[in-house]
Amino acid sequence: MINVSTLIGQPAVCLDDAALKGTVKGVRFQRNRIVALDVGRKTLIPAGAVRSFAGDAITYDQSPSDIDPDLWHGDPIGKRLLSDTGDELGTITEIGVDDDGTVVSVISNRNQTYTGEQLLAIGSYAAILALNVLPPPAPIA
Amino acid sequence: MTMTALMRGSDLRSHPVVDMSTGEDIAEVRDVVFDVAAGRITGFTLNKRGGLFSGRLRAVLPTGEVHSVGTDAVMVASSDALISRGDAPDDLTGSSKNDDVIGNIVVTESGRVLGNVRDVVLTGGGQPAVVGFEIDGGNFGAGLVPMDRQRGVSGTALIVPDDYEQRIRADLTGLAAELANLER
Repeated sequence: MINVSTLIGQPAVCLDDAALKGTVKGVRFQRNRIVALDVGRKTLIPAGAVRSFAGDAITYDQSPSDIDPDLWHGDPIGKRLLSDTGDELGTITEIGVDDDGTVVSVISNRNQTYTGEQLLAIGSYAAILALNVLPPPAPIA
Repeated sequence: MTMTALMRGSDLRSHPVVDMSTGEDIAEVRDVVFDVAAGRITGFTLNKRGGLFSGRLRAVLPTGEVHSVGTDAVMVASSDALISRGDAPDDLTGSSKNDDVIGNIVVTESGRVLGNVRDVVLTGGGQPAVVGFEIDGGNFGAGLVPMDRQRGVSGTALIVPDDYEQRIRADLTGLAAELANLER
């Protein structure tokens, strides 16, 4: 697992030409998944092209991007947290992400931890959390 | 459990309308439109986002398209919740009903003037409703009264039972307790 605060600023290396393309400037989310990374000035890396999100650098395969250009992108740390009931929940202090880019936790400045399943969207105004989502059932041994 | 806080109608003005699917603020509340006699909020007229001079939106937001009214925002499932004024029901695009209530005199059946309506009080959540009024200018100063059991409402007056003098409360917490008593 990796924290988004660590992901921002990581170097990004394209495996096709072994070139350092820049550092991660922003993250694009669709619901509770990272769908792309913004690197340097112009490089957009689809999440599917990334070998792993859990390393010290982002390594990726050159891949065409069909990412929605209207998706908000940036650093979500510090963003307003809003519940699906319309009440403020504080601001984001950290987002934990799995190796494949799936959000597993959202932590607020009010010391509350929310599951990735509760994350509905991250946009320019706020990150939206569903308060009535139950955690997944524990696996049966 | 979902919180359904009490709030004043005036508190909702300038509330952002937020699309839950994108996290974007797509409008802000200009005014609350409601049918006081029915105790029902019919919807919201809207302004564009961006401050005092951002201007009115042609679209409106019917209550049926609202996911939740909260203390900080009005939530919708998507931007499709906003509909053009031409497609909106008449009770949303007609003259704003709350203009018929604000300033109304509040008088008991036996003729005692309790004050004038200054604001309405609503419950939020998934089914927002009018539950009371804030009154002032009467014999008791400013206060909050529950809406239940009013005897009549018109464009100029609100008639309440004689015992409503005892039901005036100083704040929303007191009004919430009074409403809970009325439900028993």
